[in-house]
Amino acid sequence: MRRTQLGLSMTIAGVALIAGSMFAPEQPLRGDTRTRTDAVRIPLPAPPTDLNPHTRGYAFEDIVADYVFDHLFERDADRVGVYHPSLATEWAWNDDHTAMTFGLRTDVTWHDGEPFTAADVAFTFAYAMRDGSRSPIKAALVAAGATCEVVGEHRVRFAFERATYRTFALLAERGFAILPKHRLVDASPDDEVAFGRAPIGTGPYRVTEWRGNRIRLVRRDAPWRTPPTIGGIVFKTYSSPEASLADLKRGALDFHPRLSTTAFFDDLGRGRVERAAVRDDLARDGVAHCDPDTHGALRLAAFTAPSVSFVAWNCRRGPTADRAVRRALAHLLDRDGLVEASSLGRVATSEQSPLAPGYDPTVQPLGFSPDAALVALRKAGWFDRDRDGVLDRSGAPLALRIIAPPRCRLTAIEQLRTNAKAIGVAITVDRLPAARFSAAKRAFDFDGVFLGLTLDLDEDPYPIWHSSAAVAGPGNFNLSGYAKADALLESIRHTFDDARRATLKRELHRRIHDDQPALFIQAQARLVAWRRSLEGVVLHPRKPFGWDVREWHWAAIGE
Amino acid sequence: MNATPSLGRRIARRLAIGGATLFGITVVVFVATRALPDVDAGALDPTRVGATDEERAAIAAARGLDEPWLTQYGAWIGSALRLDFGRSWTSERRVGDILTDVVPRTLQITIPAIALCYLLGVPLGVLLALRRRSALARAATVAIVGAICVPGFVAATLSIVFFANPDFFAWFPATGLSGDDTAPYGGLAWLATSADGRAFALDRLRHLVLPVTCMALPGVAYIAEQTRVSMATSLEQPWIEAARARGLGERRVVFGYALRDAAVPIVVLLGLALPTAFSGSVFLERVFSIEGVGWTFVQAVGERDLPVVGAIATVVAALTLIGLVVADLSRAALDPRVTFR
Repeated sequence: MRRTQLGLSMTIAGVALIAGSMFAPEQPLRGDTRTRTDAVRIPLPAPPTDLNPHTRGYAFEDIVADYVFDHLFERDADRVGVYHPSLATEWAWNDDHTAMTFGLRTDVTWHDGEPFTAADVAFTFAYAMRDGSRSPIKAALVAAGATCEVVGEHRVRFAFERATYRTFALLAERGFAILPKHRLVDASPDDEVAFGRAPIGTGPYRVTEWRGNRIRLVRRDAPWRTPPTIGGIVFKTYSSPEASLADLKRGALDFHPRLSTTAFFDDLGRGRVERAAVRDDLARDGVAHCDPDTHGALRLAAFTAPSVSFVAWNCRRGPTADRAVRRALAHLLDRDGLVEASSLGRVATSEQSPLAPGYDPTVQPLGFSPDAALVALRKAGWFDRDRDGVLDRSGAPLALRIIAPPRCRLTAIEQLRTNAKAIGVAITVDRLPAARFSAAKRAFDFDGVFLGLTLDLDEDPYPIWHSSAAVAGPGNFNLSGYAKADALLESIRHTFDDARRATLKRELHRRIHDDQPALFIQAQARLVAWRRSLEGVVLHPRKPFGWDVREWHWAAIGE
Repeated sequence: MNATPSLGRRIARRLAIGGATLFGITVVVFVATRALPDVDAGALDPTRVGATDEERAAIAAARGLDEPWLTQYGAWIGSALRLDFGRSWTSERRVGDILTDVVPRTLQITIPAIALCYLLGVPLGVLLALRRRSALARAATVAIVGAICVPGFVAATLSIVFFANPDFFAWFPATGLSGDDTAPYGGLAWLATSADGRAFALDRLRHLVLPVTCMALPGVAYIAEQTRVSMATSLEQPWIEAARARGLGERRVVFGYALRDAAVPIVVLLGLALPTAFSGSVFLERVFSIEGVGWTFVQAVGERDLPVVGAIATVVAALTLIGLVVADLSRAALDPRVTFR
């Protein structure tokens, strides 16, 4: 038996030796190990369903599609309301803002070499509007009563029954990615599926491979635009944060757009990044660059995303229909404490980002004061008459139900619940499955609904606050049922002058703050990291994803 | 006279029973998927979030969801018998194409893992049975119980933290099945004859180390334990003493007699290994970001993509039944006392 034992031991040792020689340790990320490719590698949070922006499933898939497809215009990275020519070179409203004409470039070709024409734009419009369309832009186009016609080989005209100041943005950029007519006009279902996995666009990168968890894009050199410096992008899907963090640290990822605070401060930051300094920089500039020498070859930064979390109160029924109750509830949330403790977000008092031109910075949140909340509630007639620990009025207890979607952090809501309980307000929090959450929202079946909303910095507030949008059904965007600013909202959406509109929006901000139809919590912070050898990385808090590969370049090898 | 059925009839009979069982399983799968909460047309489908009630009704009608369940089942099973599982409700891809993509990826993990289970588990079990009274064997038994108890996703996460992380040992890739710069697979001859092919093979091996090890770990422990128990029983049988008394060498006694007798339950386990490994892949693939059967199944359940859920559940059920038939036949081949009735 000794021989058997000896044989087994030798076999195991042999296997270990062979494995050891085969799997030489990868070079940890201490210097630039990039030698074989200049593609930049970026993680995706989930597997994409489709790369066609008009049939895709999740908004994050636009991270990929934005490099493959072009839009008519391109929004300026930092200035709200400023657009640069892309597929279109010029545009103009008619006098009464019922029609818009775009002049298109004449030298653009698709990735397969076919010329781009106005027929492609008109086809994209028809594709988005067709029966059964899943295009995210369809509802807005229908609401505007839009039609489209080709008025020249490189000229296209849109007409609108109900145009607003947002109509240009609707057609000029995100959402209205232009599709190739020649590839999709007679496409069978299988052809459409194939297009979704290997799309043809006019964008600066073309898809060369989608295999397993990896989508590879390669730079497409075109004479009509300055090509990006980075030669390619590899998007890799991760479902485990540990795996994406490990890959970032070992050099298998070059940029990580969404780190957890633990990964940012404790793991990559090694406890040497000061939370207070990051918070102060975010409050001042919207961007915080941290000490770059915290984890070898990585740089760390944070920026305020245009995404605000809030609880919309049901203003149509129950205790929250009473303005006094809503204002009292606003005193129960310690927003500064939340920001301090964990989230790094920026205290917000509106559904708009604090970076938006229509955000009035003089509006300050109602201070955290449970005592003030209790005084306000008593003034409104709420007392614990039956001594059960819960305030009541006319025999009805002050008990509220807040619904929340799955997979969201409820730190703020839990804090609100605890503070409310201390003064006799009973709050229950129901985290619902997606479909039930959606159904409850549509039916106004809640006292409060917890949401995060990512809006364009010049978004039209009409669907969020106008009474016509407070209807049971899928069009129920005004979740609070608020109905006291209809005239102002109508003025805003028909004001085409930017400065005048910003003034009106700030007036709306003040009015909303006064009535408190929603308890705004914070604009969320995004924490990112990238390899030191990747240069030109600029964070744009005003852009939806906040970064753009086209601006980046690699440091020369050896630097 | 008591006639023993021929091997062909045994197989036919087993397959007939397997077929009937599979039919039952398809019914259960169908009912279970339809009974999932929120299975209305596109309720959880990210591409249908903004759909109006009328659009949802139209989608439901197009998918046949407004028909009675019996009609829906009839249509589904009819297509499935022609190996046509329809299209994914989320991505619109043919489910057959999805399976063609994901099944080979999962097999690349499961087959090496099963091989590892037997190549390491059987010798280890034999050794422990032969040294069953030693301190080493007792310690190994405790370690085996520990390995069986550790959930796969815990082992997978820890393996990434320790073996794919420069803070500890960055020896292996954390995710996927190939490196970012590796050429796509170019065929078997290409693998053996070109430098790119050899680089591909080496890269693939490196990517497989962590997932295969994590999948194999509990299997090795389980096979080792089964082998140990089975061998220990065999070694105490009178014919082993008789073989030794006849002067046969210890190696022949152990491997020629005891192990052959002990192998029956271990070989039977092989029949169930593949479906068990497929089930294990559900969490493992998500941790290692490998778009295989497990990952796709979890994603499809979350989005209520019933054609994909139904196809994967049916395929895994069919594999399980085939495994059971193979196990039964193997047992009969190894042990002449076993007969089929």
